[in-house]
Amino acid sequence: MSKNLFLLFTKIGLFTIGGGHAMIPLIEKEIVDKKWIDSDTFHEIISITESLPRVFATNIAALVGYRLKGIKGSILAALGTIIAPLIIILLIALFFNQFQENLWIDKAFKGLRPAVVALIISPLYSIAKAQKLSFKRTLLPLLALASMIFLSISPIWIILATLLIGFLYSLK
Amino acid sequence: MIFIQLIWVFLKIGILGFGGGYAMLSLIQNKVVRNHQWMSNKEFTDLVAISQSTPGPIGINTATFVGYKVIENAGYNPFIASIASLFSTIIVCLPAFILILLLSYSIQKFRKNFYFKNILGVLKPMSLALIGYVAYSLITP
Repeated sequence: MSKNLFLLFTKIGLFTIGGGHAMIPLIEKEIVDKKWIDSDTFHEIISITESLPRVFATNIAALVGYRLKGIKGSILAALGTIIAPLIIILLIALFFNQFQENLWIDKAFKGLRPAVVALIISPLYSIAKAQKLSFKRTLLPLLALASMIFLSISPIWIILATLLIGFLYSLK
Repeated sequence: MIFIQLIWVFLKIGILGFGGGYAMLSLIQNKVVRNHQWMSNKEFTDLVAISQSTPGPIGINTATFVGYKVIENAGYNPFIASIASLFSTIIVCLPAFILILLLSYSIQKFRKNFYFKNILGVLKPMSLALIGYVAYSLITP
């Protein structure tokens, strides 16, 4: 189990290109389908990771690892996500130091972008469905999204405001 | 002492790294290029381009690469630079990792806590907005 946990997150670290959010569908498929964690817990984990400072893949690994195997599991899973990228980048830094602005690599990444965006957007629907969101409860996130996009408010303020709202909500 | 400075910089980035890998990039650039002038802006952009196009989370890739480059630029040999890059990578993940351990440890106790339940109740739909924002910032370069 511990070995599988490490290998799974090595795979996830290896296939993450760009940002970790694109990996949500893959992680969900691997973990929820294997019945390691149920889908409710998975969505809870996602919302917690969203509100932490992060390297997304490493955080989600640590949370899942902890649920499954305690501290040992969380260390193994988190190390799993960094090991492959670390080796690849070190090899590049050591041996290909001179490869300068590489135009086609840049172009390839630009081509990947729409796919990455689609991968990020697709879990939004399944998460919203799993949470059985009412119209009233989608209002706040929509407002937050609009204020981040149009007023350039930093996500950290949104997170702090969310904590405050949750707290105030408990007072009444 | 450049090693301690480097570790301190990545510790701060790890603590302040809300908003994901791409938000981290501007923090790293700010510290490494502007404040400390450990590398030129061109070196940094090259390095980010490579980090983006190799597998792995962008925050990890950039931390590894920057850690290596800074120490190499300071005139140390590749072995020491590799060790420095290993430390930069681990340090950048460490603050969030410790937070997660504390949180996971206490979550079992807190799960039935009234405040915690309400906060999580608001946080859950809000995570949709935060993920949506990541998608948006990828569409607009």
